[in-house]
Amino acid sequence: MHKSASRSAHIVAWATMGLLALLSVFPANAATADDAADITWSVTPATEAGPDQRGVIQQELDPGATANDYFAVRNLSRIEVTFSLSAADGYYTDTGRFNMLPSDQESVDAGTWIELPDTVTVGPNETVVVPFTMTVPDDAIPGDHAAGIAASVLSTGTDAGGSSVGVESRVGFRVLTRVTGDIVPAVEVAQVETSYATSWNPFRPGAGSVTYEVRNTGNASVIVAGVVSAGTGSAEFPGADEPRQELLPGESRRFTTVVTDVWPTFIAPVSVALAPTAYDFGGDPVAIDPLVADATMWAIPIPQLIVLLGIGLILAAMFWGRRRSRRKLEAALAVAREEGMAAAMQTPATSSMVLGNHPTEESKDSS
Amino acid sequence: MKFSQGLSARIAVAAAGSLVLAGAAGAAFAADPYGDENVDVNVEISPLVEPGSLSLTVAGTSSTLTEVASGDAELRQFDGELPVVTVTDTRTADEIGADRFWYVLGQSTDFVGSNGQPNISAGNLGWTPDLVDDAGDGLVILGDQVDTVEDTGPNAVGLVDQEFLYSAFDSAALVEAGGTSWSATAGLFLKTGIDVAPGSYQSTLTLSLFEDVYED
Repeated sequence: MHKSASRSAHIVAWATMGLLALLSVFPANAATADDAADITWSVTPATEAGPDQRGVIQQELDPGATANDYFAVRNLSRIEVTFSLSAADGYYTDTGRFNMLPSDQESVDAGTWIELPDTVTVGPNETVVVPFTMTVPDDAIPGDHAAGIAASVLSTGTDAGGSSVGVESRVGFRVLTRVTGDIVPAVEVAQVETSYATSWNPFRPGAGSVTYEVRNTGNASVIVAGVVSAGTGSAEFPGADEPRQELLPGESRRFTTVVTDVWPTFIAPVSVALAPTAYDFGGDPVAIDPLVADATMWAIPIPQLIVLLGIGLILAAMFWGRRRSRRKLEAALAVAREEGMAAAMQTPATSSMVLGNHPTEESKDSS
Repeated sequence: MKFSQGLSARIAVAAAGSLVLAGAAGAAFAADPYGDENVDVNVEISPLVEPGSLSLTVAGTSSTLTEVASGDAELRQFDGELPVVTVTDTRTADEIGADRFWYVLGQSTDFVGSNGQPNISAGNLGWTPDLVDDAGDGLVILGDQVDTVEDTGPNAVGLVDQEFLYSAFDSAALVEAGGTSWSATAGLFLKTGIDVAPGSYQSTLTLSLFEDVYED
């Protein structure tokens, strides 16, 4: 196009007009096209009749048992959309939020127990109820097994220009299956590490940072909470603005709790006291023994030592100064004394001079 | 008057029997005549109210990364922008119920070369989440910036797994505060060594909307 345009002014003018027309039309078109192409959808547990209030699905099944359930996919877009449906193993992320494996990772546990259609096509502003089946294998280990079910939209567009990131967006919910048998909740705390952040204001306490790993060694999902104390301070965990921390069987997670109001006492005792809870599916707590992990933290009172050093130096300076001034005084006195002595030694000479005057007077007298 | 014990019992049974009969007769008179086809059917149709829902909207389905100056002779950097993600909650606080919270997570696959060149790990991709039109009421929590494995610091792990874009601390509280939709985006950055094989690469970033329930 560039070549032909350079060949003839006529074509240039024509092309420019065309381009202008394109530019003036394109933004308006793009805006409406974008809105119409936006995909909005929701996915919730459901009954045969439609979405219900469960939010998450929790079920208790014997090994070898099968359960039928439903979820609803609601399409709130202006266009018909075909969603891909997936079930995958569930887990809790390092920040304590439930997630399920992405489509490129293979599930090995409860994600493989769920059978559901590959896709569902939902018309604009319609809701489709999708049935699914959960079959627990005969040899399933008793305890909690997490999975997720989601409906997703995947981009297929690729870009030849540079590296591109396709976005798969999915909306899902959690399916927690407790396989009946002996439910033994158990938790341990390990690898307690500490560090101390000194407050450089010597009249303010510093903060201790305590990092520790909590492991779910039992077969039940466990919610962990507790108190971390370091020296003169303590802090609840999780904090008031942090999400609840749940650990599935076999999961471990590292937490860092910052404890404020810790005065530097050279060595500060640190303890991580956990009060874990597990729940049966009736919602009643299942007792787990609280546990404590201890550690020590170096908290050197550097600013306070500096203050002490400063005070010491000032005092030393004062005493040294006083001693020096006394020495100076003594020196001055000594000088004065010497001068006095010298003066005293000279005094006879003076008087001799005075005496010596006498001959003059005498001579005057004599003259 | 004095009845024998047997007679008293008989009178009592008879009285009970007549009570039962009277009851049955009353029921018979009250009921519609048998065989009458004209049955009144009363039904009240309330206006159709669609229940609210928690939904996700994505404005686009891909993002292209273009090279920028990395500011480091040892690194090449490619920036892009995540398509805007919107969570809409049209439920009432009652419909939501207590102790629910939603969140959007992001995780990336490795970047796969189009011509068989070695993959670039998902750990080389980082992001800086950003709220669009933040109400500033602190009810929506924005995820931390995630740095790449080429960076240093506690969050220099890449979008391998656990990272959340944004989150409601309490779904019902958000709705009660008067909001219905919350949007977020993120600046994406891919950092590689200067020895990276040239060519185009493709990865998939999975965004997930979940709502979870506190159990207590």
